[in-house]
Amino acid sequence: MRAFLTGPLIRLFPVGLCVLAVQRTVLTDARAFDVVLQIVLALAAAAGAGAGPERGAVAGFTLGLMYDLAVGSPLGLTALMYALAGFVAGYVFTLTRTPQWWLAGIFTAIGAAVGEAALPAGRTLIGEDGWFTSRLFTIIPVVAVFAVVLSPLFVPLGRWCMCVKKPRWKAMHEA
Amino acid sequence: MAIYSVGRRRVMLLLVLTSIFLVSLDQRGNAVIDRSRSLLALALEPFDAAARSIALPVQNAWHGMVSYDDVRRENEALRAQIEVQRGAEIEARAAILEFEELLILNQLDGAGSYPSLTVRVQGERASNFQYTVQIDKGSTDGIEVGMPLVNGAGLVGKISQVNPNSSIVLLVSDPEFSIGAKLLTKAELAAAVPSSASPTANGSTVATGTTLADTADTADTATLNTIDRVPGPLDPVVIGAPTTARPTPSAAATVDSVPAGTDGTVAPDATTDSQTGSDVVVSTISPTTTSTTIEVGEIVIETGSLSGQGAGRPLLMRFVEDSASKGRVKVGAIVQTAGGIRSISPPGLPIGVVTAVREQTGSRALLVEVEPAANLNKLSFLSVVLYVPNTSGT
Repeated sequence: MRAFLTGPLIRLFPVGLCVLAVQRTVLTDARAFDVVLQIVLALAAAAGAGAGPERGAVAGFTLGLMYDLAVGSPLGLTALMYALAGFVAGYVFTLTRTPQWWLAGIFTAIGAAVGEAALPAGRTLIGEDGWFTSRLFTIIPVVAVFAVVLSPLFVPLGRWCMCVKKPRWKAMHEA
Repeated sequence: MAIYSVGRRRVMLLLVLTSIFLVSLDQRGNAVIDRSRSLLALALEPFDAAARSIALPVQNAWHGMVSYDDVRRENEALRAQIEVQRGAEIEARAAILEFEELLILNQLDGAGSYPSLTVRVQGERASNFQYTVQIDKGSTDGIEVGMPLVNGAGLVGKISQVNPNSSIVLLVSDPEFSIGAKLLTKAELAAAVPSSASPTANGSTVATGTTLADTADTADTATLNTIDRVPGPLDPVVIGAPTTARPTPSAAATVDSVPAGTDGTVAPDATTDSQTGSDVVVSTISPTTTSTTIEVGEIVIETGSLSGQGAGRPLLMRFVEDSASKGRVKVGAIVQTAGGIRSISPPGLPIGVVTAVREQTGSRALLVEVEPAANLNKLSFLSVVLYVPNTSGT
């Protein structure tokens, strides 16, 4: 954990601030099908696809905490769901034999979809009802497609944030 | 660079436990977390400003290309709407003045008695599962958590988080939003007019409703039985003197028409019903030539709890009793904030209009759907009502 505090966190925090600023300003207006595109979630999932499930989970948790603090959602809730997104994206990606950039995109989308779908479940668990509506069938695909679009940029960025070099990334699959 | 390595299970377990701990702390309210939010908000300010300054020209250019026709059409529609509303505005102004006069007379606080602060909406919701907006003023301007926000149309939301230079507003449409509300409706026509009432010989009736009806052509003076009591702030407005009738205890029953006697005198039993307490307020301007009749329906107040249901769905008011004695809840009834010692807002802030009334099986309480008066999709400038509830009860 000390290595995380001295390595990835130093990179992840400023990158997270930039991405959060985009989330809070640009993406609140630029919506698709009235769905708010989730750039922070896309980065969390991409970090998982680029750095593996454990590091993806930690990156997702860190970004989610920043998101909770900035947006005003219950602290720790989005963090847990984004950790799940990073973990899922990283886990399914490690199942593949040869890492390809387009596969990373698909798994980033899967992670983002899982993270976004888990959010209403988490809110229900803490007593906030009313989020399980048919709109989820619009929200989740849109968020996933947006994650795919950003993955060519975000997977390397996530890998860099988590201090994982490309040879090591490839070695994760061989192992 | 060293790469940390901890077991997969341990990582996930640690994150889950940390998350549960943080959620528990945050739900109970924690000063450290609030401070952390404020610090991050301060750290994000330059990033937000940079993102806005970069994105704004691009957004403007995009909207210019894509939305020009829509904006022009909307502009034309709004101009037409303004014309229509000019007449209504004059009536509304008169009503507000009378209302404020009554509040002063009764030494009551109305929604307009509280100072307010105009704020600008900086950004809309950043999440698909939270209906919030960010405004450009915070604790340095005197804003506190819980203060209500209104726009020209009505209640918009309440402050849920305050940073030094910005705040986050929880909109009324958010399922987490809840507020005490009162429902202003009117009693049944049938209840207000007894069966013994008969129309005039020539069949004419005095026009009634919430509008002012000039009955000068009748050249009569109307007299009424009265009930001795102190009028309340929501009682019918009596204009002119001398007044021959006083308001009823529960203020106002709705009567669509009131029969007048052949001599122009309204029969007492025709206008005052002992069960409903409704009556018609008549004032005489000139005993020989003119009488002006204002009828204000009986305003029945039902209180309940109003909460959001998400975007595109109406607000839901619960715990509304369906009572014949108090009046049936009808589509079109007005909903306002109820106020009270523990309420986040003062009484009388308009919320919206009833669009549907649903019955619940096994309960007399109704589920009332309310369409918010404020357009929550297009918020630009808002007013924060600087109201702090008196929780001490003194």
